[in-house]
Amino acid sequence: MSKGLFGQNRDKLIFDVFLVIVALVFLFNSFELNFRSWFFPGVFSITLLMMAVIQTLMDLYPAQKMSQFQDLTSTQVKDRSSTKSLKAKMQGKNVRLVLVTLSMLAFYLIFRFVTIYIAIPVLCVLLLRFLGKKSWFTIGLVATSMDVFIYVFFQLLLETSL
Amino acid sequence: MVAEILRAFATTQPMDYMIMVIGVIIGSVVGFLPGLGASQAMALLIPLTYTMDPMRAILLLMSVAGSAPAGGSIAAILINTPGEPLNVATCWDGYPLARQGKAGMALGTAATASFGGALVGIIVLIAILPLGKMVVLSFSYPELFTIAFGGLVCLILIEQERLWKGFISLMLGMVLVSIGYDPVTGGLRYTFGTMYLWEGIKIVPALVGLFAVSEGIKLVVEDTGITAGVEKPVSKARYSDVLQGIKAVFKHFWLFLQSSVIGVIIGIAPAIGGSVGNVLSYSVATQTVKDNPHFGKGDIRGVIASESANNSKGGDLVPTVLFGIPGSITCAVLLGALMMHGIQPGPRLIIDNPGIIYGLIIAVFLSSILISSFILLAAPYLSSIPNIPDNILGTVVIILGVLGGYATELDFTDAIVTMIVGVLGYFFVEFGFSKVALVMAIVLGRLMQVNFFLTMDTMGPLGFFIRPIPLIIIILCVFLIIRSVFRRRKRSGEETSPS
Repeated sequence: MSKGLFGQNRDKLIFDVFLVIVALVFLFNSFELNFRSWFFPGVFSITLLMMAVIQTLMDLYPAQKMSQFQDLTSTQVKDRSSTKSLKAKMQGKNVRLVLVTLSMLAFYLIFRFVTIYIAIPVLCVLLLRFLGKKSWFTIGLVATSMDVFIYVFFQLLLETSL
Repeated sequence: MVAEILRAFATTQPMDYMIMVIGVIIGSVVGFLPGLGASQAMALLIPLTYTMDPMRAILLLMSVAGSAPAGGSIAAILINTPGEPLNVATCWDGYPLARQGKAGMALGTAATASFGGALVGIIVLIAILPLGKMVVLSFSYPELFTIAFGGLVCLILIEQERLWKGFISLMLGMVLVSIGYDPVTGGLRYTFGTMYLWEGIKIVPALVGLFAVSEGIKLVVEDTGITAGVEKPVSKARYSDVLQGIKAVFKHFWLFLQSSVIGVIIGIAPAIGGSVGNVLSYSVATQTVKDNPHFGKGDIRGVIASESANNSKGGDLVPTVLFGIPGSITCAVLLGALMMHGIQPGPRLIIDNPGIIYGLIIAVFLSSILISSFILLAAPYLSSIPNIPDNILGTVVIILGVLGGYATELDFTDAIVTMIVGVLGYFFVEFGFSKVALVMAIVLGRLMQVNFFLTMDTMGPLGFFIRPIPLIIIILCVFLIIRSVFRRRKRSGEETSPS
């Protein structure tokens, strides 16, 4: 990918490539199937592969134009603040997304190996305190209400083992 | 038969009403919670009904089944979380309406359409029971294939603005739905050595992840403070907004009727029902209404289409009581309960035990009235939910979503799948792909694949053209495609004309 391919366009391309890989995995694995089992997934994975490749090319083209435009702006236009703020916004969003994903992973691990009643307050602290800057009182309120709600409905009424 | 039902109504005891109220409370709560549905609650309640009178047991179980879809619509509209797979299409327009500050209206429409759909289902059930055998047997493999195919065609035509990405999403869904054992040959496909994938993509973790968790992630990541797209917090809805929602159903009465009938027909077709009815009804609505560019962006007609179809329980009950073939998962559980109480469903049920059928009808009718009245009365208060700050709402949605994914089968792998699908769903929307097309493919894809081969094996390619229902659907699909092509040409002609 060319230098300066930033933010949304780069992420789009990564996702397109992911779709291409998914199509390839399904296509290669379909070769071991007999014709009847192969027919639908085989045809659909070939179609998906072609479409995902075209989509990648379509996204790559405006992306390159965008990076050229960025180069142009960097040399010819003095005011680069809007590009910078957009870039910062995109980076901020990506950082938040990574943090949310990691928080969810922590939530899952505590839920899986300890208990849901500790996992909920931990997730609330991670998402509401560190990302949302909410007060401890609000976090306590949300976490306690969720714990009580889940205990009453899932554990007492529906007898779900948590 | 109507006179007998009214007589059964008159002899209902206060205790029966009490049992139905309990059923409605349980049904609305499990309907609201993502991942949990009427079938799970009914299955848990069956042991409790063992010592009960069979009629009361039926009243309790059917009240749960009758109220869960309406309970699910609350979550679908307010937090974009389909409480049940039955409510998935309600999210597509209900949630955007809530984000626009029209939650009261959407809830009013959902409650009215849901009750109306139940009523249409009951009427059809009463009308159809005498000739039910003929109707049920008219559904065979080509009918089921063309119904699924027609639904996908309608969907692709609505995705006109992003036809290309809609098609990619559809193809991805069709590939993913091939995971698991092949119902035609019995062999395994794409399991990658894990037993978890033997059953294929599980619908509940997929739907909850795609809609609830991805929305929760979006709310926390983008944290715009408060309801996005609205500068000030949305004020609490008034009863006049709810009334507007009720009026909308009468304003679009034909759409309501069409969607209810689709729900009933899908219910009658044995063993499909469930989430198929509402997505199919939604996609047909996109083709039959005028001016559809707002579909999926907050069009009240989308809520009508989905909600009138998903509560047409009467249709599901036809094959269940006439043949003992469940019309949906809920009906499968009901069937188990009937057998546990020594009642054998089948053609003789209406002769040997008509009271059971009247009990089913009364329970569906009264539970629909109760849950719809509750939603209508509580709508102004419920509509404040989207006013909760984005990150708090997002956190709650993520917790309920992951827990809902797990609670369906108490499987931790489901919980992690829900989370992974949630993250992928976030990117899917972020980059302009269609979650609707993906879900449609997951819901209808397997039905289409299985019935294609069964038709080819039993009737050959002509099977699709010699029976009336498939032929009509194919002609309709061809007509819709041609109409869409002409519309596109006309539109592009207007855009390029000098004026």
